[in-house]
Amino acid sequence: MNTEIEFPSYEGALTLRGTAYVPDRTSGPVPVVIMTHGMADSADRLAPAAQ
Amino acid sequence: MILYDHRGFGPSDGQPRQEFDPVTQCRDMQMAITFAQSCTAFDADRVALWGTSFSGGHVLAVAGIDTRVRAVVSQAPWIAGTEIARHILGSEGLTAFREVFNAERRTLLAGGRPSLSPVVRHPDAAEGGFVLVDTQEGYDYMVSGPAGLPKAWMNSFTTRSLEHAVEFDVRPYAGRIGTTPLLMITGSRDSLIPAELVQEFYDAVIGPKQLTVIDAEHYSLYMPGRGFEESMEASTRWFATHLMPEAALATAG
Repeated sequence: MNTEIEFPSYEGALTLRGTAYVPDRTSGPVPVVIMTHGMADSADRLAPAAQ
Repeated sequence: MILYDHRGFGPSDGQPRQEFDPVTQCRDMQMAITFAQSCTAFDADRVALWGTSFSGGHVLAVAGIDTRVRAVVSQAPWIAGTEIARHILGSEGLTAFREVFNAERRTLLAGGRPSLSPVVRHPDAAEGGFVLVDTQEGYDYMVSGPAGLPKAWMNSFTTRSLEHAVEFDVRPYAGRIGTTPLLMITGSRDSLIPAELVQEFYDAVIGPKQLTVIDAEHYSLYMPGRGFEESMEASTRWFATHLMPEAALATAG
């Protein structure tokens, strides 16, 4: 299941946005890998890798 | 998985837009770790990082600082900005850039805004000023890549971002990653990141560690049939081994 997420920046003044991917069926909390993009790029392009 | 845009990019807040600064980006990544640990769906004791290119450097730095990180995959990583810039631009080109950066500061002093430069230019276009990525493979990735053109992507960045990138050197963090499992992935035909920088960093890490070299260019690692599958397979196996040891054992057994 994909969920839109947001969390505050380090100084708290900004909101950073993205997507959380959680398996549909789990038997408890699962490990999590955090991903983000490179220079002057977009996280959208990493969606295939995140999937 | 959690996938997010750095501040100043895509749907994330931040001014100026299209500016990258690894110092703030790494601190934000640590906030992403805190956020992930706050999600009930995720196990707070099994948080890992995956980064590529510039963010491949970020994950090495954050893994060296933040003991909450339990496994890392770093693909085609930005290891040492000055060396990479000299490799791409030459010594004279790097010297010329320092003057560009200083001119940016004079503009700010006079009340101006940071200037913007394009990320790519069409390969057939007449020569027209600096672009961040001037190779055909870079253009293919940014504009006509397999995922199409992301609607949140813009063909611009603040010129001074490059100075932040030149400053960014993650080699001091190699010895601080300790025993956090690290997989480094690199393309054997990467023309941007010198292979010896990746090797130097890898050699300085205690381990567990693995260096996977894929027959690929810097940007083809994202492209199906040109390195993407190999990168994903290696990444998935690394995370499974180090975050889900019981599952890895079951598969092996």
